[in-house]
Amino acid sequence: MATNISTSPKEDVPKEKFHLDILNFSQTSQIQFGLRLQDYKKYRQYCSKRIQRLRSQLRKQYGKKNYVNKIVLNGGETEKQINDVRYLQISLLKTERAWSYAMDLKAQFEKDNDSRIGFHMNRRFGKASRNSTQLYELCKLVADQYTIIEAHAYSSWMASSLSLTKQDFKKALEEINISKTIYEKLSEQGDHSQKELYQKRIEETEPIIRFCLYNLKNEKNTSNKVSQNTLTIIEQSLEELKNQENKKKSSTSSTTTTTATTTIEWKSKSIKVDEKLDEKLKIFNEFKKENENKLPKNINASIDTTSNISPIFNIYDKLVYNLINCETIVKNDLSTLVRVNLKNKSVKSEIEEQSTRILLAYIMYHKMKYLYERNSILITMMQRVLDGEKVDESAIKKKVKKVTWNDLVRLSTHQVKVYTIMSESRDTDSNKEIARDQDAQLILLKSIRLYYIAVCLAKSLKFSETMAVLDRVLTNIQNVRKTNTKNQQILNDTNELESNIKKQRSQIHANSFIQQLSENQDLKNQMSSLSIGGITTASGKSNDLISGLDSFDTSFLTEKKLVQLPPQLQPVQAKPIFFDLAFNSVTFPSLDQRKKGSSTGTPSKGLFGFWGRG
Amino acid sequence: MSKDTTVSLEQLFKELDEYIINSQFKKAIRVCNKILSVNGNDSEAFQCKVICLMQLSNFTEAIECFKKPEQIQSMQFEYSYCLYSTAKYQEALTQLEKQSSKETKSLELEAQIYYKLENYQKTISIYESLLSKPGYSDSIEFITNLCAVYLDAGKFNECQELLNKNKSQQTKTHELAFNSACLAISKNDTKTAETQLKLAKKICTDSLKKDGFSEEEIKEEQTSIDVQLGYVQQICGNLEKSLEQYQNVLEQQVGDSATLVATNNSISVRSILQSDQWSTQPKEYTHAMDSLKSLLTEAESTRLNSKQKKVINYNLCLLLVQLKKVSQCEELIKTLKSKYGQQQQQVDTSFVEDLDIIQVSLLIKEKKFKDAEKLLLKNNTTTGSIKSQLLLAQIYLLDNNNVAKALNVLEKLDSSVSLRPGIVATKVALYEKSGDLEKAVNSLDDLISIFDKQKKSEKDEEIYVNLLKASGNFKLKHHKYREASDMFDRVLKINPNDLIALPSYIVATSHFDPSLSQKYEGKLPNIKFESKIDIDLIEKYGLTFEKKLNLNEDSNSSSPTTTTTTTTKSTKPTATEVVKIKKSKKKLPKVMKPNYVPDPGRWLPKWQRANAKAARSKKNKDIIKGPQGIASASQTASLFVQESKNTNTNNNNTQSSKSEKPRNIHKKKSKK
Repeated sequence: MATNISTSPKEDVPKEKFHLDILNFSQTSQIQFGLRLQDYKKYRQYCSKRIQRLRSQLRKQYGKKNYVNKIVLNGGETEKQINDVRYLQISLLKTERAWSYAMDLKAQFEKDNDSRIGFHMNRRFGKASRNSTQLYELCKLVADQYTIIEAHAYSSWMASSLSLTKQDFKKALEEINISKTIYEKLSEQGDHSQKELYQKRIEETEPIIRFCLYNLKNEKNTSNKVSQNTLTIIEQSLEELKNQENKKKSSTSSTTTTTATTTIEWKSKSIKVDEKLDEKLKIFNEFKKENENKLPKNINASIDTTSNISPIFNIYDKLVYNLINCETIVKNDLSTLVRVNLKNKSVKSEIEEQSTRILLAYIMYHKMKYLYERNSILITMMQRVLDGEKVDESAIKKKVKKVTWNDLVRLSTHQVKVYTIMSESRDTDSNKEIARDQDAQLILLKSIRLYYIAVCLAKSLKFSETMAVLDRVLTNIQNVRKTNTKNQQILNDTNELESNIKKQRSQIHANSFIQQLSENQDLKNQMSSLSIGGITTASGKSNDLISGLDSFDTSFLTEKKLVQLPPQLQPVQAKPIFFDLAFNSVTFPSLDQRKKGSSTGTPSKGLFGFWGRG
Repeated sequence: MSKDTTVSLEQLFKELDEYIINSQFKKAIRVCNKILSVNGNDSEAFQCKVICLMQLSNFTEAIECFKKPEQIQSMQFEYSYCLYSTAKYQEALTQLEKQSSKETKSLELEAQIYYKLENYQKTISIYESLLSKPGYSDSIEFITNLCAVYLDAGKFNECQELLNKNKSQQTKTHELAFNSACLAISKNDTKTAETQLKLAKKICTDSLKKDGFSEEEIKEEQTSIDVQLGYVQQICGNLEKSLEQYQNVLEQQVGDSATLVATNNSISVRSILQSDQWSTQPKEYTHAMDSLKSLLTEAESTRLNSKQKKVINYNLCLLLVQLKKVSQCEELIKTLKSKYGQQQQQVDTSFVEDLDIIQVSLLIKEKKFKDAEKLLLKNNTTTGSIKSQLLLAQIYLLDNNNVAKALNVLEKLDSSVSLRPGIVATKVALYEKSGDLEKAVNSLDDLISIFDKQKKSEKDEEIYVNLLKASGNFKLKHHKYREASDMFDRVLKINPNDLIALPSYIVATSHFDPSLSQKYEGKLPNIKFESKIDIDLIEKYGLTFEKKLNLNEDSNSSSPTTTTTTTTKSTKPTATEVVKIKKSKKKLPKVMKPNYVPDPGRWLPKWQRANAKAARSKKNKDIIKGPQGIASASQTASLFVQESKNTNTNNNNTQSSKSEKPRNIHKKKSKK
């Protein structure tokens, strides 16, 4: 695409030099507008419309007020007039238009074998060559060195095509060699993203060169020796001269480009890295060199997890952190490229997008690799904690306060995702064994995840689902063995998993039996609780632990209630019955004597006798 | 005149004798007063008057009659008894001690006075000395009183022996049956107590009906039995039934000591049953407190013994705690400590501990754990009760969850207590929290080994089996599978068909010996599992397959992949659009003739037309195919063309010379 578009006032001489990716521009236009289908007419119409649009933008249309004569190849005046890169685009598009018209006429000429069309074709090719020459001359004046070289190659190409139609094979050979040489130099030293474009042009020059040489050999046999010898000498001298020119020009272009560019080879391609990403990758590589020795070499079940795990996790976390910084840069670039491609595609931007995706794959591979290793260590440690073995607990407590099987399920799920991304982003290898190992490892990871899910389901008393999941795990284990992998670690892990499943099966059978008994057992518990309650209340103590001294139960500890506070009100016994024995001893004195005394007195008898008489 | 007086005295004594025989004591007192008005120094009349007043329970007036020391000397026993009846126990004792020689009735009265003063030891010594004398060993009332004294003194063994000697008597009198029920209650034998109380009730109804009492009088007599039945049911946990019993007693409004006890007990039952209501409505607490305070007034307090008063005061403290009257509660605790703390150490240390527990509960509410700790440590914790020591452990747990100190307290408990299953379970749980699994396992194993050594009753056998199972489960939890399998193996040896130990044994052995677990697995019946389960759903969503809400979370987690798919999809339609572009049809002019073929050489000069046609067409074909790359067919065609060129060299030369000329012509035109 065109860069450095600037509109300076006409009076000032522009100091900046324009840059135009000529080959990218032409190839992009050709691909997008008809030439995939060999529709040269449509392409010609497109070029005409675009030239008209550019002229209207530059206000160089024909008319009374804005009428301007054609640009004259005069150094001073021309340099003043050209103040925008779009003037160069006009020349390029004129060349492309003439060329496409010539190719269209060529197709008709092949069909109809009409000489008038042939003449017209020759004129179109000539016009294309002239316009390309004009472009080359203009670039010498106002464009940078890279554009000049590329324009030279482009004009040589057009000149060679013209010479071929004229059957001037010597000149055609000369021009095509110039073009080939320049493109070879540019593919080596020029813009990295356009390397493929240059290589395609080089490939296209080969048949033309062979055709010209073939024709020239025939002429050698027929023509004079001297003239042939002189022609060959002239050709060689011309080649040498132009090669020297190309070398000088290419050397100057290499000085302008950035020095010491780093490249990454990934997926059988070498990709240039820009400055921002290069800094981050350097940080990552330096940290990696310093600390890679400290990381465990083989992550197996036999790894020592009792000590020194926290610093290992710190190293992994920093490596991943650095890679995440790289990842953000690449993803930002990728999103901008995708956005650009949606609006306005070009061959260069598509190639850049692909290379950026490859860079992202490189970074994602390494990121996922370290995450995978870290998670493997963590899963091993957690499993050992659940099995009751000693582990470096400080490392785990940073992650999880208390280890449960649900944590293992979550980690193993994450592990499957990490491994799939890692295998997708892996550097491409044609080795079949590695592919087998990857498939086997992926199935094994899924099996391990399902095993942990089965254990969690067993804990939550869903035994039917547990047995179904374990059956699925066993089928996955068979699939792992069918891949015929030779990796010993995968086979060991598979055997270990199978033995664990056998253990779990018998446990599940027993636990499900216990669950079926639970209804009957609840009745038994009720009976026993009644009897225990009776005993405890008989003792007269209502405190929680004291009331449960004869039962092996610690449910009260959750509330920290060994003794009930405040205590309950207490009842009282009634008093036992106590007779008042002493009161029985209280007796009246005898009054007999006093009665005898009364018998001596006769008046009393008389009184009583008197009442008796009355 | 003297004749008239002598006649009247004789007549009055006759009347007096008749009234005494007929138990008409009020009339008898009038006659005595008449006699004494005539002759103030008549000792017989004076004695009759005093005794009549005693029969009417009018002891204060009886005491007022004793104005002269001579009168007291002549009736020392009766005077002492009157003092005893008016609760002047010390004066009664001093009066009795003045006697040089004591009769049996004086000893009986002395014993009763000591019983009221709650000096049970002296009462027991007097009664035991009286047992040797004739007539007392056969007296049911005497035996009943001795039984009561033994109960109050806490000598249950002697009481049991006494009751065993007199088994036949229990079925005859309800009083003795009641006292035997009280003994059973003291021994915590609630079943025997309940049967005894029901028996006493039955005897009471039967005997009193024979004696001609009315139903109301029978009910009044049964209040003690009803209250005691309520107490027994309250202890057994049947709170609602006990509350009914108490309500029935209170409705009768009999003013005896049983009614007072029923008041206290009904409050305690309602505080438990209606604790939710009471916590929301503090008025209930104030009502309860007022009713308890009324029990402790001086008028009522004579009917209650010191134990009962203690408990009522204790309940008052608890009610004050519930009402959050902290200062009043603390003052009451201080007075109670000063009142009861210095007496009989064995009995009252537990009461002081109970008061300390109330005080500690107040401090815990205010979260002053250190003060609570100091208060408990003032008492000797080694000799303290289980309750106070466990409370100390609880304080350590509440204060920053200090497990180590709580474990120290539990370890220092007596050996009889520390080997109870509940204590061991607590220790194991606390060791587990502190992370010391070895001590937890050792404490379990120690307890199991002690049960191994002992001879086992049925109850202990059950506890032993439960302990083995608990130990096995604990070891399974902490991954000690071999030891756990040993535990379950012992259970299976005791009971081969234990339905819980067998699966647990299978689980334990499966960890280290799967083949052995599979052998035992054959004993279990086959269990049918559900076959229709969507495993793919489980594999896709993991543990959250049952929850629909988590589906959204999964979709959110998968959102970056969808964005990438959208980007890939967005590129595809542009490609398809390119493919879908169609060619527009050519529009031919209307004038054109379809089959007309013009002469192609009509524009050329004549010297160029016919002769150069074929040769030029061949060359042009070669030229046309060059820059676009040569296919294999075109290459072969070009080879044939070159061969034809070789044969016709002369023609080519002439044609090439001719072709140069028109270029010059064009150049000239362009120059112009």
